[in-house]
Amino acid sequence: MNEEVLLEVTGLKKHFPLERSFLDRLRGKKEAGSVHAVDNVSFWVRRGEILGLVGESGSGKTTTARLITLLERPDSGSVQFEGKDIYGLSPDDLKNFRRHVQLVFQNPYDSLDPKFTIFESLEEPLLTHSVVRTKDERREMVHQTMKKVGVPMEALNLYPSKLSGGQRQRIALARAFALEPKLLIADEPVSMLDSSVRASILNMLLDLRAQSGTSVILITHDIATARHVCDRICVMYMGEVVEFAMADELVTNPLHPYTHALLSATPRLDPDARVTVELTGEIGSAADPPAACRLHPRCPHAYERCRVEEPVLREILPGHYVACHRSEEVFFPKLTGT
Amino acid sequence: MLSLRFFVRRFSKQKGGLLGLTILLIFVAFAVYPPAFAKYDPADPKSYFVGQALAPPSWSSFFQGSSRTGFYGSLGTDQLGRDVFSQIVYGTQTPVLITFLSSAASILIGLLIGLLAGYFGGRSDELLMRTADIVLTIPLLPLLIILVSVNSNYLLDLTVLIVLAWWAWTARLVRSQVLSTKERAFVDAARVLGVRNFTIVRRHILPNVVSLVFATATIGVAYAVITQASLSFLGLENSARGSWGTMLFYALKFASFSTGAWWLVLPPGICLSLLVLSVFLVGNAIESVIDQIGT
Amino acid sequence: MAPLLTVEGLRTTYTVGGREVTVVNGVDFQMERGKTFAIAGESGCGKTTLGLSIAQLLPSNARIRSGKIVFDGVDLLQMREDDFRRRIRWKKISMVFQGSMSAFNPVIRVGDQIVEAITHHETASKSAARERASKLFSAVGISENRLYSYPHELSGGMRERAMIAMALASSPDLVIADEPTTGLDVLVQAQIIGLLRKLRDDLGRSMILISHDLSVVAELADECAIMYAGRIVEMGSVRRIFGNPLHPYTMKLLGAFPGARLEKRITLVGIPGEPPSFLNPITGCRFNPRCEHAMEVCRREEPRLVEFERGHFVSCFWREETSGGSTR
Repeated sequence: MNEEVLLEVTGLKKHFPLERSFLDRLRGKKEAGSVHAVDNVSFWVRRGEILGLVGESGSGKTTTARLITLLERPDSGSVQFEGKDIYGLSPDDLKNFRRHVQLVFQNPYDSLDPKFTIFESLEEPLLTHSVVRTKDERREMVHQTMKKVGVPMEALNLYPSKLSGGQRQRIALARAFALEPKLLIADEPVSMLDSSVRASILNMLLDLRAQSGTSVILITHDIATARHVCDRICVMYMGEVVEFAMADELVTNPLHPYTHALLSATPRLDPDARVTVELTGEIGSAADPPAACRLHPRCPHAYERCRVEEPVLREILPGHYVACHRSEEVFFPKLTGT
Repeated sequence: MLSLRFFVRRFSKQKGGLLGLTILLIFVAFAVYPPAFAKYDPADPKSYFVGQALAPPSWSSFFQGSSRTGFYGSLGTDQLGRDVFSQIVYGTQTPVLITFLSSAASILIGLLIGLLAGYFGGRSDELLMRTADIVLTIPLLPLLIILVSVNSNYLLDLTVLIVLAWWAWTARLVRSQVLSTKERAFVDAARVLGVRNFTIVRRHILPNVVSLVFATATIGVAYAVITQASLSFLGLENSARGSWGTMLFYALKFASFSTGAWWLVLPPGICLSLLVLSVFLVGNAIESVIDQIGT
Repeated sequence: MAPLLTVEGLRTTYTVGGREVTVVNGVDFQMERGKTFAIAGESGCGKTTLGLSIAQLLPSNARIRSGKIVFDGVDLLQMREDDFRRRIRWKKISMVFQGSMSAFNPVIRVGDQIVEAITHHETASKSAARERASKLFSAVGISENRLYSYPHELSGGMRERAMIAMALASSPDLVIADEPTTGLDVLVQAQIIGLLRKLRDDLGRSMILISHDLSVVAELADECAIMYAGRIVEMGSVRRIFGNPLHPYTMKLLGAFPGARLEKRITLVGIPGEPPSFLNPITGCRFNPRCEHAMEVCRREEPRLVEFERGHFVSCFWREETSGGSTR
C-alpha cells in the first residue's frame, strides 16, 4: 500500500448556531448556544486506503463528510487534499477537487434525481467535467460503468422509482466512480438496504477500490461492518475523535472505554455470545456537551481529571491514537496479561 | 428530462387536458380573428337591428336565408337588436388576452423569484419574500376599481395588477417547494459533483417544482378572468366592443332577469365558466404529465 | 405442556391496487411458554404481517384467508371481534411496535397514556393505575418522574423502554415485539436487548421477536423461524440454525452478516439478485432465482417444510436430495 497521505484533516470544528426562540428574542437573550457537531477532529487517509469513520448518531461523522466535500464550511481547522487546503482553492483547483472527491449518500431513494433516467444520472458527471466530447463516447462510458456495477442495461432508460434499493445504490456508486475519483466518501451506504444486498454493495466498493486505487472513507454506525471492510478505523463520539488505529489493532486491542463499550455492545451471530453494556445512559445533547472528556458522565473509569481536563489525541502505541487519560491504567494490564 | 415529444405523447393521453385544450383553442380562434366567426361586430353601428330587439334564440335566419345571414339570432338578440353570438365572439378578446398575459407573467415571475429566493436564500430571500407578503396584503379589487376609473388604459392596468398580485402566491409556493427539494440528497450529490448552481437550479430543482407552478397558475388565471369579468360587470370597462362581463352588465341594466330574456345572461356566463374550466383542465393535465416523469 | 401458541396454515393477503397479493403464505409454527420465538427475514418477507395477524391488528386492506391461530387452547380466528378486543388484546397479547415515536400520542404525557391504557382495559382507579405505571417504569429502567414527560422529551432508547412498559402493563401472556431495536444506536440497543432478556429470564415472559437483524435474534431468541417471500424456509432452535444452517438462504444470509466474528477479518459474501416482491411471485421455490443449488424441481414445485433433524425444519429440495431424502 502506498504510504502517501492523500487527505489530512486537522482540528476541524463546526458548530451550528441554534435559532433563538421568539420569547428569547423578546427577553433580549443574545446567545442561543450552538450544536457542537464537530469539534477538533483530526485524522488522515492514505492513498488506496479504506478508512472507517465509526460512531453513533450524533457523533458528527456525517458533518465531517459534508465538511470534507465542501458542502459546509468549518468554523476552524483545515483539510489538506494532496497537500492543498481545500477551503482556499482557486476556481481551477476547485474544479479538479470536485472531480476527484465524490460522496455516496445513505438513502438511495433520495440521492438520485427522480426526474432523471438512469442514463442521465450516469451521464451527468461526464457532462459536468467534459470528460469526453461526443454523445457516443459518453454512451460508451456509461455502458462500461453499468457493466462494472452489474445492473442490467435495460435500466438505463428507466427512472429510479422502478429500481430496487440495492440497484439504486449500485447506480449511485457507479455515478460516484464514473470519474475514477481519488477519494470516495460513502456515508452509511448500506444501512438502508436488506442484509442480503449489503455484502454485495460493500464488496463492490472493495472491487472498485482495487481497480482504480481510490481511497475510501466509509462512514458507518456498525463497527462490525467497518472491521471487515476497512483498513483503518477512526471512532468518533460527540463530535470528537476518541480512537484512531488500524482496524485489526483497534478491534482486538481497543484502548478507549468508548470503543471497548461499542465492541462489547455489538451483537454477534453466536447464540452463546452476549452483549454487555459498559456505559450507562445515552449520548447527551450536542447542544450542551459535557465539559472536559465528553464521555466522563457515562464512563466507568472516569476520575477527577476526566471532569476538568480535556484529553487530547495522542499516539499511545505506534500508529494507535487515543484520546483518554486512563488508557494505560485501564487497558495495559490486560495487554501484558497481568 | 422533459422532451417535447415525450410531453406531446403523454399529454395526448389526458382526456381532460385535450377537452380543455379544444375549448381553449376555439376561444383563442375567436379572439384572434372574430370576423371569421361572426358577421355583426357589436361596435359597428350597422349591426343594430332595432326591429329584432330581444328576440329569443332562433335558427330561422340560418335555415330560411333571411336578409341577415350567418348565425344571426342563433343565440338571440339584445335590446338594441344586436346579435348575441357575435357579441360573444367579439367579447372573447379581452378575457383570452388576460388569461395568457397573466398566466405567462405570473408563472415566469413567480417561478423565477421563487427559485432565486428558495435556492440562494439569505438576504435576497428575505427581501423578496417580505415584498411578497406586502403584495399579498393589498386589497386588490378596490385598488383595481380606483385605478380603472382614473386611467383609461384599462387592459394594461388590469394585467399588471393581476400579475402583481399573483406572482407572490406562485413565488411563495415555489420557494417552499424549492426549500424542501434543495435539502434532498440528489441536490447535494450534484453539488459534490461540481455542477454549477445555475445548472443545478435548471436541471434538478426546476423539473421537481415546476408542476406546482401550473397548479397555482390555473387558479391565478381563473382569478384573473373572473376579476376582469367583475370589473366589466360593474360597468368599468371602456372598450367599445365590450366583453362577456359587459354583456352581463347590460343584461342587468336592462333587467333581462325580470323580463325573462335569459339568453342575454346564460351565454356570457357559460363562456366565462368554460374558459376557466378549460384553463383548469389544461393546467391539471400539464401538471400530471410533469408529475408522471419518473414514476 | 401444551404450546402457548400454534399457528397452522396461515394465509394473509393484502389488496393492493385492486389485486390480491399473498403476503403470508401457509405458515405453521408452535411456540412454548416462557420462550422467545423469533421471526427473522428481510424487508417484505411477511414477518410483520405475520405478527399483526396474530395480534389481529391488520390494516383494513388485509384479510386472513385461511388457517388457525390457537392461543392458549382457543382459535383466535373463530372469536368474535369485540370478544377478542375485550379479553385478549393487550390483556393476553400485547405488541411493541416498530418506530416508537409514532406509537405514542405526541401531545399527551407518556404516564397519562399508560394510565389511560390501564383504566380503559381494566376496572382500576386512576391512582392505582398511576402506581402501577411508575412500578413499570422502574422495571424497564426509566426514572419515575419521566411519567410526566411528553414523548418528544424522551430519547429513542427511553421511548422504546416506555413502549415496552406499556406493553407489559397488563401482564400479558405473550408480547409481540416488532423490530424493537431497529433504529437505535448500538449501545442503546444493547441496553434494550438486556432489558428484553431480563423479562424472559426473570419474569418468564413469552415473546415473539420480529427482526431483520440476525445478530439480535441470536442474542435474544430460543427458537427461530427464517422467512422468505411469505413462507418459513427454516425453523428450529437458534443454536441449530446459527450453528448448522440447512437452507441455502439461511447459509447465505449468515455469510453476508458482518457481526459473525470481530477478531478476524472475513470476506462478506452477498446474495446475488434482488429480494423478491409480492407483486410478481415466483413459481416453485421462492428462492430459486438466487440459489446456487437450484435444480429443475425447484423451479417447478414448492418445497414443503419438513423436519430434517429433531426440532429442525427446513423447506428445500436440494437439502432433501443431498442427504438422501428427508428423515420422515
